[in-house]
Amino acid sequence: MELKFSDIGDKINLFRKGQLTWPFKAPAFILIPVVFVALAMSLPLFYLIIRVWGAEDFLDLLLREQTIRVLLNTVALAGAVTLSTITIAVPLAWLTVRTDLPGRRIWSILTMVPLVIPSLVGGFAFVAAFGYGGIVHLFITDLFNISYNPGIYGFFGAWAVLTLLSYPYVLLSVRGALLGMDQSQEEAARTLGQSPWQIFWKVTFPQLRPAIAGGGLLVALYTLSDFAAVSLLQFDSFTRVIFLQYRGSFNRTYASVLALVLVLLTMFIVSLEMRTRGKDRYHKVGSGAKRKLMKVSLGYWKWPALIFCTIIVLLALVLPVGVSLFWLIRGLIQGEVFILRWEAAFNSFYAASITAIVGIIVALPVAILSVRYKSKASSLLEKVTYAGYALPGIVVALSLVFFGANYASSLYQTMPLLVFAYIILFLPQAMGSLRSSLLQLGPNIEDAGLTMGCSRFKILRSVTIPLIRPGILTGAALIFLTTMKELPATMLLSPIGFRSLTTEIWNATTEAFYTRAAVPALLLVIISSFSLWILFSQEEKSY
Amino acid sequence: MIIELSNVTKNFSGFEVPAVNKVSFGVEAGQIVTLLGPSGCGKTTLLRLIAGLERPSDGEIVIRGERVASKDSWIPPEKRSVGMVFQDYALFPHLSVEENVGFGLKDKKGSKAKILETLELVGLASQVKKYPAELSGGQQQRVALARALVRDPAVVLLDEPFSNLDMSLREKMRRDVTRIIRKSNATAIFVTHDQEEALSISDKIIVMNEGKVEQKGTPREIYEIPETTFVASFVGQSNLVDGIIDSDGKSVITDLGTFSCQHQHTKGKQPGDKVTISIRPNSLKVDPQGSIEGIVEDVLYKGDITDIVVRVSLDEKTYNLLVHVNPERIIKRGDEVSINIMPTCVAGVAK
Repeated sequence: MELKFSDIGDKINLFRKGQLTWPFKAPAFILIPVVFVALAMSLPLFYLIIRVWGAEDFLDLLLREQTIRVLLNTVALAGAVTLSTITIAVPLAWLTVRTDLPGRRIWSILTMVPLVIPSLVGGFAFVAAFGYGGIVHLFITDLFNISYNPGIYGFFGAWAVLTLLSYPYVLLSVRGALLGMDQSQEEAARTLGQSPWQIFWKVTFPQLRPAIAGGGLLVALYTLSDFAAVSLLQFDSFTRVIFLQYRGSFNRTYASVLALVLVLLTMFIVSLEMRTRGKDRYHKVGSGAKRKLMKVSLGYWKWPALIFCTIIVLLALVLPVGVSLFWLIRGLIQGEVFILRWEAAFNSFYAASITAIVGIIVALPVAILSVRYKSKASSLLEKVTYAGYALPGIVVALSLVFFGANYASSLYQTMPLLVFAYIILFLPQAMGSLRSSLLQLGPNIEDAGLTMGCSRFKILRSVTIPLIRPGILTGAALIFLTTMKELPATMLLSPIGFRSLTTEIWNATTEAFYTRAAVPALLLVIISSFSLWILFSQEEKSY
Repeated sequence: MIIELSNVTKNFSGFEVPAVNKVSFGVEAGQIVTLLGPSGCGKTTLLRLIAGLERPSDGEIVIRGERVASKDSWIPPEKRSVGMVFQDYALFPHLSVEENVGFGLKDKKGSKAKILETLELVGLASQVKKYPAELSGGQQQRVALARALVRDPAVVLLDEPFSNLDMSLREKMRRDVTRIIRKSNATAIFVTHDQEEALSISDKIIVMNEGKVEQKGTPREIYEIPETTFVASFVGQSNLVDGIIDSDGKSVITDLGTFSCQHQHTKGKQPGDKVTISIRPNSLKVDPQGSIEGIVEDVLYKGDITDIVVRVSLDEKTYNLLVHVNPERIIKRGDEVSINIMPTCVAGVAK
């Protein structure tokens, strides 16, 4: 929705004359909190813009050769990762849904499981396997007594790790499209005299294109906002360069300029992604038994297919878990003391719990406004709260660091500011489950309360909230689990001396003490398995 | 009048045509009124306007003498004296039958007796502790009704209350619900698209089409004296025949004969003016002495009745007339028959 300032002036005049009605239907106890939330959520971006605007050498900074180079790097990486994930995921989806691949059910789970590997863990595992002091490096230097440079750093490493981490996003959406496809269309095509091959290209594939585009854009977004993998593999894309600029303190304004360019880039991808998504997906599937999809017989092609699936699962799943286990066992044998700092685990748990509780309190009014009191004005407010979806963690962190240092020094490097950053980033995590539980509840049940003489507040308290409790718990759990995995905001904003699981992995990996990263890495994998399990069981329920 | 609507209009943004367009009518205490019309005619919106779940764009609604919605007054739904039964019942699944019915009652002590009394009225006194999911569709419906009645509202609003029930249960629930409403002396407004339902339960029917009121009247008036061709064809089946007013200013001359319409909507018409008349299929009789001859085009056996379509070819025009016949009579397609029109049941229709 476009909104010009002159329009706003006109509208206010109309409103005064009584010719325009108040654009919100929501009661004050919903609307007022949402306005506050929207203001708070827009703070990082707003402040970043102000800061960049205020810089005198803004244009010079923007047009620096380095800016252009980083932009090209980032776009090239995002493009390469997107293409390679599509190349891997479309055949995997087809093999696991529409063929007689041996062990199809197991493969369809195994190829999806790499979703549980956070990028920090993926980056750590790759470095700890192939990087300096990694398994391969140790082995070769020990065995042949020669020194060599592991050539995994830079574009290649970042591309490989991000591809293996993010292809499941495309797989997920293409599988969904394949599974949701109506068998009768293909049957109709057969009765119209088309061969199976023609049917694939004329009927099946065209219907997959939106799913491929949607999944691919998610991958691009993942690549743009990823900090851990590109940094550990030392590739100069935006997130890493922003961090180095900030850390190096050479020119913090330049860090903000880069952050702003990155935000524009992610917003562009987000807007594309939203366009591919269409409207709410919460329609129930009609009743009646669904017929099984026809399976294509692979014949001898099943052997290359099996090898393909095996390689992907080995690289994307077995490698990161195996490498972590290797270093853990090695550490145990060598009697390493800092296998796990309990303090770090506790800190992560503590910060994530607070974020989950505060986050859900903040998300609830926004979800109610967006589902129950739909209007142009309310959807604008709602969109603002999705800022965290478009803002990479490093950008939010950076903006809040500046804000804290300049305007809220008492909050700077305290828990409240850290939690605030987490909430900006992860509020959208809770919105999905809250919105879908509200959509499923339907408004009639609340209207019924009104016609029985109850106030809206009482209905919220004793009807709506009890009935959407599963959605509330799911949302809180998702915020909790995602917060546990967060790295850049934790590094930049946490109180001095604060260690978390993620900072432990980061420090250990950058210092090549891989043993110390192993247990936190395995813990993060377990944690993110939980969040994935929640998401999937929730998806099942909505059908 | 316990409820009065005058010129109520509702525009939804994004729609050019108002969903409800200048609707006026009144409901007397104890009446059962039905809003009847095809889907999308605005009847549910009208019900929600009365409940206060929507705000009218124009016009005025008065409940028990209090102006609840107008240009400069607005009473929210929770402060209006209305009860509502929703199409999907909208029972609170996490509350028991008793808690559902008592949800809107403020006074905790007095409410216990009131809840039981109302549940007794709907025949569910033995189910107070059960949860909605443990009840049958008909029982859920009665909980919804009890919940709407328990606060003795000025009016109970029922939005397509029987559409979720299967055929066999629907008939019974229709009788039960109207009986309960009559017994509790409540005033009720039903919304339905089922003309048979409207005819059988109402004291007064308001037929709506495209947001406007087509006709108001008792079921008998609506069926026997349809004022518009829409009402004539939506409520029951009808043969519409064009004609002109005779020189006496009362009778109508048509190709099928001249009829003196008892109930005329032809007032103010001059001899020679064009009008349409409605002839119900039950006022056509197959009769060897009949004046109109035709060929049976179609025979639709319906068990208790048989509908036949008779094609009558006249010089200029062909009419396909729907005729009800006794199913004992064996009529085949292609038979030549004579039919008679009983003049008492012919109504003139003001277009």
